[in-house]
Amino acid sequence: MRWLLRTIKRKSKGNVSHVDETYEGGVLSIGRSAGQGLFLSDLRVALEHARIRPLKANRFRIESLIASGIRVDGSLEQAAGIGPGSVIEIGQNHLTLVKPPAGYDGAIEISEIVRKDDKAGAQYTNRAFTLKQTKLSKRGLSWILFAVLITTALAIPIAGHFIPGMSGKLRAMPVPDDGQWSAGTLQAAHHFFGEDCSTCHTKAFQMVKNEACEACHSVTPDHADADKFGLPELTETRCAFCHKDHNGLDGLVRTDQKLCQDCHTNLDERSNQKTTLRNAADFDTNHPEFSVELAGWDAEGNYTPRVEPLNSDLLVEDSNLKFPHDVHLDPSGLSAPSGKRVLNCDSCHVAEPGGAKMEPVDFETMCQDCHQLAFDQQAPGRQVVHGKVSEVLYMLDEFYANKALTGGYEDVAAPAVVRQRRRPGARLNRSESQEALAWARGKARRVGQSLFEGQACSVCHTVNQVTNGGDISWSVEPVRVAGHWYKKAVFTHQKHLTMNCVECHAAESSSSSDDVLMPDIANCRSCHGGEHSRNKLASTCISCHVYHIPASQP
Amino acid sequence: MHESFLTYARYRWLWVGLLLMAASLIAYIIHDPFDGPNGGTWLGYTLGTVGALLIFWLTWFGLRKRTYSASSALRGWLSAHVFLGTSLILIATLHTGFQFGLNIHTLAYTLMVLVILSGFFGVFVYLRFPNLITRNRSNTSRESMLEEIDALDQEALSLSDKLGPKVHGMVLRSIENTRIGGGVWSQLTAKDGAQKALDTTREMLDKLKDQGPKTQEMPTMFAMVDFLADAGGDDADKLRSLMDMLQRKKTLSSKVSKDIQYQALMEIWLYVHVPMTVALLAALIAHIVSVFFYW
Repeated sequence: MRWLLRTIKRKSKGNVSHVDETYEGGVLSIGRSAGQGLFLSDLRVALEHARIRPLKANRFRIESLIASGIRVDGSLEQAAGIGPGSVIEIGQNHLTLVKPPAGYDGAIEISEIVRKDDKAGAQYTNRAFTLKQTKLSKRGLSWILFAVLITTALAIPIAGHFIPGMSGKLRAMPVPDDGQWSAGTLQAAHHFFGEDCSTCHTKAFQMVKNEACEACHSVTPDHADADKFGLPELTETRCAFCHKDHNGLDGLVRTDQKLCQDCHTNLDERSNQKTTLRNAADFDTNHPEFSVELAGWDAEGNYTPRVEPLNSDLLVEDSNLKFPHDVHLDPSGLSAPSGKRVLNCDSCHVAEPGGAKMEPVDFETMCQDCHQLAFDQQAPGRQVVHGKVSEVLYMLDEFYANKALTGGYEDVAAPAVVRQRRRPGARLNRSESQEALAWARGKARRVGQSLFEGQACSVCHTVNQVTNGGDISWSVEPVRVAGHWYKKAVFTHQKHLTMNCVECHAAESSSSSDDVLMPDIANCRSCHGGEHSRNKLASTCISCHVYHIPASQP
Repeated sequence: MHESFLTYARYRWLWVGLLLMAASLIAYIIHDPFDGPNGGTWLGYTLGTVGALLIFWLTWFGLRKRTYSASSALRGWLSAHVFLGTSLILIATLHTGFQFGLNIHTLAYTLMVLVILSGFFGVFVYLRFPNLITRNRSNTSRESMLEEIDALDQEALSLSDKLGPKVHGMVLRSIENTRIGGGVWSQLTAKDGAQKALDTTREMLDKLKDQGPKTQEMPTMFAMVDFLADAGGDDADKLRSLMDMLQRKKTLSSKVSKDIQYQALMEIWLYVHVPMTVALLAALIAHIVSVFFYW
């Protein structure tokens, strides 16, 4: 085994010279004592510091003979495999293994370690003393972060918007898409299309247009006729002026009072007195008395409801029905065929499904128990229909004609042919028939008169006698109550079930159906206040009114 | 009297910052938008614009600082940077209307908060560390401490060489184990290995001692030295002065490491502050563009 040991000397001005030595032996010992294969005079080298033994061609193993070890390729080792290219540091010496030239089995270049700083503490100063000397780099980190963020948060979503079909692909993949731009949760109803931003944000750098909203909300009516009232802003305003999405699950509908106040505080002036509405600004402090819709008819008998404020002198209900609530609500009960019966509000007034309005009162199921339409003592079970006058009269005609022709009707005022009992199928002669039917017609008219004018119909209805070509008949005034009293407000009984009916409707003390039993604003104000109310239920305009008013409610 | 950047011009920028915060807060309290406070109201846009302009201006300080050396002008700028940067926390928070989410907008806000918090750390070290550094160096310089360490190493080596190869090896190892400076973590934690080097030396002495009679439980290092030196009084003196040197070297290298640590701590926050600022700029651009892209 032949070692070439080449000592490199650095001279001034960067010149280099070298001295070659040859060592013959199996193991190359390194140290500061005499007899070492490679002698290093440095005090930092132990007398016997290390040895290099060959493994195979160009592969060696270096072993430290002292505890402090040796630095091989930068790391401190007790032993390591080395070959050409390996750098060993011992004390101030740099040993570089090189490819052995011809005739040698191993070659080492020995040079003194060149420190970055040839001044004090040279032994330490080739280590980093400041952060700047480390691999940490502000600039590098900055560029990386900037590039990553601009790419993922800006470039990719923008590309997704402009390249057809790309945004869908992005959303399907676990990569950043334009969803990261969403400023907040969408309104619940918008979630089903919310992933696709371009449903609403159709064009870049343009505010969401009304057309985007109207794609679904095509039947949403305007607030009022902009031309009629000279208020063009009613139709020119963007939907999104009020409806700002990305504000939470139920943040899309404006419920603030200010929305309405802006115009309705002085709507009369604003609309140049073209409105029939009165000014309003706050439910508690600035709201007119309620108006109710009352049934009414014009001269031709067409249904023409009228609107009256609840504090009007003209507030009389004209339903053509006679009904004293106080009598019916007698707490000691009413004498019914089945005995005493106490009626409650819900005996007659049943809320519609949904609870907004009341079902119509039904005579057959609610009244007829007591108000029976019987007409003949000999047939106590028979009642006339609760229907048209002609039907009642026709029914009476039929009933008495049958009785007269069948015979056996016990009435002292009736002719003998009517009273006479006959065998079934027995025939009357012509004059007998005429006599019987004449009686029947007369009887039916008398009973009819009694029903319409006396014991039955006129109890509740306004009945007029009319003469029709010598024959008498009757007409009943049409009955109608306002189904929807507060036309411009939304009210539901469902939300007021904790109240008793009589707390709002003074039915117990009402003796006439002329009375309007709808509660006034003072009644509502006992619980409801304006938007800023502190001791009442804060209610804004939208609590009772709507903005987009359907055309059926002018 | 030295005027710090905080007290610059009688707290001028503190007052400006406070005024800015008070104005924002009052506007926020008075403003009552129908859809709740958010970045899209007129006040939201206003606060956002003020905040963004502040961020750009504060970032510009970083660029400007490089070209400035005059300390007075720089101090004024730094004072403004600190106080206006602090006011940004409130301005930006009010701009959000406290609407946070997993989106680019909140990311920009988070980065901004990180930048400002790291800035607070910077203010702290700038105020505190110069004193600590001066005290630690105790009227000498890092350079001369390193020179002394070097000299001590040389002396210790030549002394130990006379005490035999075992002691020489021990000292060599001690020198090898003392690592001043180094990577980021080494600089920040001031782990110079000097203590470890000294401990190792003691351990090795302990081992040597084990070859003798085991009498004492926890003998002091010097007792061990005495024991080792039983053979001759001359060697005992040498060993004592060797241990003195190692002890002295340990003290010095700890000081240098501490010096490096202080300096590293005075700089390390910038490695958060600066890259986070640049990241914030990117997020801010994305925030502004995206808001108007999907208006």
